[in-house]
Amino acid sequence: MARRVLDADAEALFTAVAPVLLAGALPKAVEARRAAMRDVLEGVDIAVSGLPPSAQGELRQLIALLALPPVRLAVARVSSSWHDAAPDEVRRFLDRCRDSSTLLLRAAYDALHQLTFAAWYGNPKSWPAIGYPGPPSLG
Amino acid sequence: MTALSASRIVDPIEAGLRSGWKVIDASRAERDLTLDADIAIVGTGAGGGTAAEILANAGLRVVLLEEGPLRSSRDFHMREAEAYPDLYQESASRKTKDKAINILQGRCVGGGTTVNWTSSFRTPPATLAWWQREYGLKSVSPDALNPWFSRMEERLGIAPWDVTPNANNEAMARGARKLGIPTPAIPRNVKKCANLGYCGLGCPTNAKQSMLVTTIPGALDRGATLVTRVRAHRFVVTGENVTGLEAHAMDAAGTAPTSRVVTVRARAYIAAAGSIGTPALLLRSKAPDPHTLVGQRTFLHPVVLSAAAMPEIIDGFAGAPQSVYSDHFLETAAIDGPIGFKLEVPPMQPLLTATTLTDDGMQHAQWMSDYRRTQVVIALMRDGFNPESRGGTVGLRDDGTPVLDYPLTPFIWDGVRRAFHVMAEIQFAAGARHVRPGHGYGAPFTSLAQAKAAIDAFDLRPLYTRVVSAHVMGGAPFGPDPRRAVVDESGRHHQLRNLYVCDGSLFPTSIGANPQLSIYAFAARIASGLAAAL
Repeated sequence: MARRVLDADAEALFTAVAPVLLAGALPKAVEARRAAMRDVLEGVDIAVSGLPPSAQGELRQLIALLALPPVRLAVARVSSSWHDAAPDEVRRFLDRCRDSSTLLLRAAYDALHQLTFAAWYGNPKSWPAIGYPGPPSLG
Repeated sequence: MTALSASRIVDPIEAGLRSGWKVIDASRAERDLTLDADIAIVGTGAGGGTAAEILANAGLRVVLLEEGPLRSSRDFHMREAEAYPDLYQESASRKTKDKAINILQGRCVGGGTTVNWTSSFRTPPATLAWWQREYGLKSVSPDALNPWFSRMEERLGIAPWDVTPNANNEAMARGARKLGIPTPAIPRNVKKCANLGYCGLGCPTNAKQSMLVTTIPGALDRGATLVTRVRAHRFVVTGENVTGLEAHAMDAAGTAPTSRVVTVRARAYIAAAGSIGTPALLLRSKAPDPHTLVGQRTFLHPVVLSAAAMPEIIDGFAGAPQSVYSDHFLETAAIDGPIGFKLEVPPMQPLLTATTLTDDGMQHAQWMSDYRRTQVVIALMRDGFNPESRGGTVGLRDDGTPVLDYPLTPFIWDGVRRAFHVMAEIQFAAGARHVRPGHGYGAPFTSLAQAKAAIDAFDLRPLYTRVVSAHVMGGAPFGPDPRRAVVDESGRHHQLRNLYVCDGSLFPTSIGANPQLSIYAFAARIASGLAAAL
């Protein structure tokens, strides 16, 4: 699918982390889940494209850093590429970022958290499960 | 309840455009533009909007510049995914330099007033007294300001909100009451409010008396020119005067400048771009700053939160978002002692709620499955009154855009810890089944004792404790002493004769309350003085 700004590294990273961050929130049925993930990735792409160039650049650098095999191994203990990372490897990576004493890694976790949750809960498909009726009608 | 029908909502923007308002969308400009005026105003929020109407009513030719788009009630669909990228700076995810604080700031015609939550407090007398005593400001006594507060309250329909609070506010009031903490009603700038609860996404019924539907239409009716999608780049400084304003047209998405330049030549210039935008504009202009004050002492009212699962349905997305508050923890301690805080509640649309909760995975999903029963209290830290509370510093990135470096110091964390205790006490007193302060992750606390023990042990730190802000203040303070203030008490720059600051940048400390009415009142006074001088 054509993206506005997400490159292959970013796409692979969000494809790996979104289902873990959204565990318990995404639909369980295979087809609905797949469609939801497509929406989340598209939502992240749209959100990033709306950021100013400086913020986009920082995010791009962060994602490129996490894609470097030595960094991925050191920080994430993920030996395979993000494409092949197992959910429990991704979970450990997120925990290590979240709990890190390094501010940069906590910022990386925060960026993934914010973009992923915004992409899902800004989407009307997420609303029935939480009981949000959507905006009121003005008649 | 007011009968609502989209077709019957009067849209003053649509009517005004039809009547021939002078509005230019710079993102569509095919060539560079040059405009002449008596006054050029950068920014259309609480400061710029208020000033524009007063100056236009005085018969002066006003040009208003706004970085964001001109929208109206018909564009306000109450959808977060649409509103945040369109109406807020950096898609509502502007961060401080280390990314530890998320800042909500408007970026649209009307600025923050188009998207704020309508809370309208006069500047607290304790804050004014502090400015008189510590900064030598002579003109800020409550008596001197009362006429300006009254004038703007009348202009914007500001009055105590006498409708029953929504359940989110009510739960805080109930818990506070049990602890003997009063929670007065919040005055709001609304007329015929339908109590929908979507103020933060642009008022779809034009009940909110923002600049968008009041002073800006007022100024445009009197012949002012509004240029949207344009970012003021720099004042051209020649000797002791500003001799021009150079601005850059933005692209339609508002994320990056195009190559089109908008130049304004005016007799006087007003910086009202907010407390990040105004200092940045002064820095880019290389305006005289002999005492290195510009962009220093920028304050945020850093906000922390506490979430609770209540037995009853809360539906914090419905109903006026902020209708009660407590100043108990501001008023019962010395203003320059350990940091005090104001208590309020936030609106709780799903995206804002989900991104603000600190958990993830199953724990987060658990909270969201209890979304309708989730109640949130927020504590706003009153920064800038203690020598240890120096706020942040606005600087420029390589591309000239601003970034605020705001260190979260032990002084602030001390207040955060006390606030976590208080918020948990209130929420358990209100009947919470469990409480989760906005810090770290894991299972929520099911008793007050458990919560308090955990809070005492919290390792509070940036990007682990959730800190947000919706109030940016300071950075170009007013005052009589050029060694301590960028502008004088009339708002005029101490070194440049025809440059004025007219927004929250003026404040030498934070306000200690939601700042919109403070900005309105000072802007009205500054603009009236300028109108008389011209």
